[in-house]
Amino acid sequence: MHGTVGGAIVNSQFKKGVIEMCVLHIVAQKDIYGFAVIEAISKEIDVNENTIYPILRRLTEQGYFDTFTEATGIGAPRKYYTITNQGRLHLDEYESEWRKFSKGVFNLLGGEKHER
Amino acid sequence: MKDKYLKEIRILLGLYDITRAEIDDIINDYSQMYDDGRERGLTDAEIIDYLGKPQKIVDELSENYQLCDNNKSRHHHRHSNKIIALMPFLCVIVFFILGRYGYYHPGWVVFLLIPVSGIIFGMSGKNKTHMLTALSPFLVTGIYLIIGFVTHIWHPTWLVFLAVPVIAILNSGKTMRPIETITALSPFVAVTVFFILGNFGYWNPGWLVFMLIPMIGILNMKNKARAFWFEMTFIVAIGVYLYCGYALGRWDYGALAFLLPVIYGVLINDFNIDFFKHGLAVKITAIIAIAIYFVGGIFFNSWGYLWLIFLLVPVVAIIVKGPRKNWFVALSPFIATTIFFVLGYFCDLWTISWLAFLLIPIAGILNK
Repeated sequence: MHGTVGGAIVNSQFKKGVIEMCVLHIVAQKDIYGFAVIEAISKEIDVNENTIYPILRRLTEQGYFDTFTEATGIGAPRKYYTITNQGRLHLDEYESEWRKFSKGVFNLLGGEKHER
Repeated sequence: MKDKYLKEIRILLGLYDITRAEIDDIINDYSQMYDDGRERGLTDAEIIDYLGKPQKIVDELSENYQLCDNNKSRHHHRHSNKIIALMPFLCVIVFFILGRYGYYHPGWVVFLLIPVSGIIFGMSGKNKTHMLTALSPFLVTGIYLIIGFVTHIWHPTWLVFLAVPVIAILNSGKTMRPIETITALSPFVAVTVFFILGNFGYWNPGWLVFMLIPMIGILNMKNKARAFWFEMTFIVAIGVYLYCGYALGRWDYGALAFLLPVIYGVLINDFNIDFFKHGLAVKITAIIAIAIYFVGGIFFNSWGYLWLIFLLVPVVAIIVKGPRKNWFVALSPFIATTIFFVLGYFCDLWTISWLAFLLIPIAGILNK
């Protein structure tokens, strides 16, 4: 039920929520296909719980993403994810909550003093 | 290895209450991602590390999607399927009852309930916006026939068919910015306003409403200064046209004023409008459809039936953006509407042409 990130124990539900925000953020930057999303997140976060595709699928189902296919030149056409207006609103809310939350945690832990 | 991996996911997904179409979609996605991993030179083990073990994947999906067997939804599906299955029989009964009282025509309209109920009950719980797009040809046909039969004003009642591509655009508006949606809708608004003005005898200068299309399109330009001056050229041209027409009685001279926006457009050579980047094929189809509709209408007086050309707009959107395996189902309402109208309009076979709508449930069954 718990995963470790950077040595700290992080609740998997919490981590899933953060990854969901990251997925929204990445798709908001540009239309992107599934594997590229996984790749982009894996570069920064230790994702070994294969949550990304189910998140992509759920966010699509909830109307935050739309999909379209594009020919790849080799093999089957790729499915691309594109953010909807509803998705952008959701991301804005998410990001503002996240900033408030992380600022609060940062302050509680001692701010710059702790950072040093 | 890939086949084994995908097969395992498929078997595990099969344990849950999930449609075959959805399983196929998930497997297809994982197949694509697997290929992407290979393209990057990853080994099978590395790809599986990236994508996850089949059991983990299915656990995640079942948690997120509630794929688990759900009595309530199963009961609902059974209930819906019963209604869909019964609908043809109910329609035949109602049709013959109406016929007994001399209403075979327009009593046959009840058969529209077969595809309509198929869509409503078949898609219940799914995306409601797609349901509206799928239902729109029937709703519009119903409105067109009711107004036509009651008032015999077939023209310009056909304008209601413009609602089909309009609804499709509004429903795809989720992925468009508001200005892009307004731009995409502008041709249909212009056509409607043009005919309303025309019916009051204002064909000229009523056609000026078509200037709304490029003028709204210009609002998408990134360079706001250029956009402003571009808009101004249209406003000046319209002003000159109206002045020449009303004050001097020379509409033909006034029309020359429209060379101004054309020349300006060529000079700035900047048609870098975002709107054209998205769904180019759909936009080109809409423009070509409008052109064909008007050329056909003016030269061949085909106003009454050439509106069918507008159905090409959602058709192209489906072909371009929709998954290929669902093409037939998604296209069936439009194919059915076309067959229905062509047989009825050209061969006067309204009493049997409704059979074309059976194509929709047939397509649904074949797809499953």
